[in-house]
Amino acid sequence: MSPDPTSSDAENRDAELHDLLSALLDGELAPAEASEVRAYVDRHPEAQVELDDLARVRSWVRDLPAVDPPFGFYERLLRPPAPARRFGPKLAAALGAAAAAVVVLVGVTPLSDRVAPPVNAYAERHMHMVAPTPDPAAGGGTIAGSAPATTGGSGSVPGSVAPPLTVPSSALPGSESFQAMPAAELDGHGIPAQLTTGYRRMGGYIGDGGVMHLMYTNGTVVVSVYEQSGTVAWDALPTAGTRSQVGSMPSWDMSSDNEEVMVVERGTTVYTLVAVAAHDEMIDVVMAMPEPPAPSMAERAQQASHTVVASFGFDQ
Amino acid sequence: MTIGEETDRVPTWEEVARDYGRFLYTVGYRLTGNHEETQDLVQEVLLRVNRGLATYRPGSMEGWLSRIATNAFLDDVRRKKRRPIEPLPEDAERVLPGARPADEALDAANLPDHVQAAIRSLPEDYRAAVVLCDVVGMSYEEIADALDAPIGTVRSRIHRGRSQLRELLR
Repeated sequence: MSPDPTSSDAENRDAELHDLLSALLDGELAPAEASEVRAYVDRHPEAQVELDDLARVRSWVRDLPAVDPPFGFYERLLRPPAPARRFGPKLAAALGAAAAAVVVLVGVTPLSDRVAPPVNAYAERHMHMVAPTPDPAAGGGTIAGSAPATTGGSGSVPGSVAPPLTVPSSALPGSESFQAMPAAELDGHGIPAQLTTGYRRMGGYIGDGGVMHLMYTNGTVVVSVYEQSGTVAWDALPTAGTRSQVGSMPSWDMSSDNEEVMVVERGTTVYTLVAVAAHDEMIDVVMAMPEPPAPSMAERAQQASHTVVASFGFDQ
Repeated sequence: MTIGEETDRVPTWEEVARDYGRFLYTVGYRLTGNHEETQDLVQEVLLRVNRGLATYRPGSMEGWLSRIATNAFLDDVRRKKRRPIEPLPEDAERVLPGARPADEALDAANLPDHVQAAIRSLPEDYRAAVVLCDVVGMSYEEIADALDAPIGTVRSRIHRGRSQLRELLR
């Protein structure tokens, strides 16, 4: 006896309709086709069970949480790591995170000549600022490379650590003298007290040569940002450094035993960033922090730039 | 620029990385199932984005990125196989691992891990279709366009992918 062709056709059609269960669930069928699949489900209780299961599976997949990249992942992409770093990727990631945030800090200053930031002097000044400061009362100081102890006063934000109020210019290494700026004045110029990467402002200083020195910390790593107008005379920077890129911005960086210096050229503004390696365990904590939301500092920086330029006569 | 927004201008590469980084990483992780491969994939996607931004037509950035990510993922899978691409098995049962033992019953706390592991065990073409549908939220038509496949194939891949997940997550 030959098989009933009508029955075989019906089975084939049922198999086709079965394969459309997910499309029915997703509302991806034309009305007539959807009616046909629903009729198939009505005729086959096991299809209804499967449809319910598929809905549950779909909701499980849909409800999976978003996945955060490791801390600093995008900063590393934006700034390919320079070769031969001595303290590995952790500090680089932390510094990269800060750099990516702070390079949009203070906006545009007038065109000027090519400059070679005195990177060694800036690094020395940074080291001096974060080095242990003997405290006669407490009998101790701060840990080199970590955030200095709170001293309050000018340039600090409430509840944050801050470098010494008034740093005698003569006592500091560097190519020029710097004077501390009160916090209110920094705020008034639109210098962010808090960066979206979790770094908060420790203080700000203005040099007699027009260079602004800002210090930020995330509680573990201290980053100095020196800002000056001009474009970078790359060839004049120490040969120990390496040319690199921060996004589309040309940069240069140099590592030493315990610090890293990076120079970034953004338009006609030059930023020199310095950071000191902190304890590895602390860096681990920094690395584990979730990626902060997208910054909105660019707009504030744009406003701030004009104020800063006017206030300090950078455009004169 | 916010996620899901239909943009009427071409963003910069940095804006894409900044504004869509988490979205892109999530899609990449769902496709690859591990962080190492995800980072490689995201890096490859951003390279392609950088090359393709000039030809990007303002619209759904998420859709565009998902399409690039999925194709980069499938390209990588094919490259790694180092042999001619074999047709996908038509019989879903043949590729199913064994059912989960009773003592490994799903619990709410570990459900996302189980679901991710099950997704990773899917054949790559099924996985791509399911991720584009249920993680990205694309329509079948959009998925067909992204995968350059007929819509009937997309229906089949999504259904078979979910059916396999159903078996794996019983």
